[in-house]
Amino acid sequence: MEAAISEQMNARLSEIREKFAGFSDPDDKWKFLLDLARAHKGMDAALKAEKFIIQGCASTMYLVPNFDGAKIHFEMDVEGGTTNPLISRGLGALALKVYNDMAPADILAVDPKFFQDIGLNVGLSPTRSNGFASLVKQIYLYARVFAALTKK
Amino acid sequence: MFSFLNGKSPFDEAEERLEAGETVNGKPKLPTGPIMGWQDGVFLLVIIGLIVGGYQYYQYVKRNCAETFAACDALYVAAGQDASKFAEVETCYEATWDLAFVSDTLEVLRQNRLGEIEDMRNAQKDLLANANVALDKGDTAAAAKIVTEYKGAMLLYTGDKSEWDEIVKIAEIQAAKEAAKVAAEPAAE
Repeated sequence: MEAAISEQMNARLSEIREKFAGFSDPDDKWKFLLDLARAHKGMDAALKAEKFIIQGCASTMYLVPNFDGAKIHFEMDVEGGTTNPLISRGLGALALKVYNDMAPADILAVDPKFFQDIGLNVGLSPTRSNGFASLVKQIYLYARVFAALTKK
Repeated sequence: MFSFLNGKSPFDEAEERLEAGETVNGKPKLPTGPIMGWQDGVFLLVIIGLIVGGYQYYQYVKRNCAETFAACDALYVAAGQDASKFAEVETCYEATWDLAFVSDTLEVLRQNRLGEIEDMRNAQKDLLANANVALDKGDTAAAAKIVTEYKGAMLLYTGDKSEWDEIVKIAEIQAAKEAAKVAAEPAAE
C-alpha cells in the first residue's frame, strides 16, 4: 500500500509524522491542535447542510467535499453551541492537512492507521477519538465514491 | 503629523540663528525654549496612561482567569470524590468561555476536562439506551437496575433526562412493590 503513495502525499505524511515525533511534552500535541484549529477557516453557513454532518462527533462537524474531476477539495467546520470545540476543530484541520486537495487514489493509498501510528489517539478522549474515526471514514467514503466516478 | 518639535529639529533652529548672525563665542546659540508644548505633554500623558491602564487591565484579566480556572479545578478535584459534582464542573468550565484571556495551557486543560465530561455523558447515554432496550423487552427490573446502579452525575440533556427520570420513577415503583411484597410475606405466613 505504501508504494502507491504519491510524492506529495508522502511529503505531507512525513511532515506530520516528524511534527508528532518532535513533541516532548504531552501538552505539545494539544497546543499543536489548538494552533491548527485557530488557523483553520470555517465555511460558508449556506454549506452547513445536515447531510454534511459527520455522525458520531460530540460537536457538530460538517465536511463538504467538492470534486473537480481530479482532486477532492474539502471544507470543514465544527460548531459546539456555546462552547468552542477547538480540539475537535484541530482534529478536523489535521485530517484536512493530510487529505485536502488530493486525488481520490492518493487518499485511498494512505493507511488510515497512520494517525494511530503517530500517537494521535494517545490521551484523546473516546468521544473525540470516535468522532475523528468517523471523519476519516467519511473522507475515505467520499474518496471511494469519486474514484468510482472517475473510472466510469 | 504629530511632532514634539513643531516640525523643526533643534539643529535647524540653531542653523537659522547662526545664519542670522546670532552666536555665542562664535558658536550658534542653542535653543532655550521648552522641549515640548503643553499639547504634546498632554498627548504623552494620554499615551502613558493608555499603556499603564492596558497593562493593569491585562493583569486583572489574567488574574481573573487564573482564579476562575482555579475554582473549576477545585471542583474537578472534589468531583473525583463525588462524581455527582461533574455537572457543576462542566458548568464552571462552560462559564470560562466568557473570559477575555485564556492561555494555551488553560485552553488545553479546559478542552480536555470538558471532553472528559462529554465522555461521561456519552456513557450515561449508553446506559439510557440499554435501559430503554430492557424496557422494550418488558424487563422493568433490568431497566430499574441500570438507573439505580448509576452513581455518576446527571449529565443528560433535557430530552434524555426526562426519559432517564421516567425510568427512575419506574425503578422507585419497582422498589416499592418489592418492599411491599417483602412486608406482606411474614403476614401471609
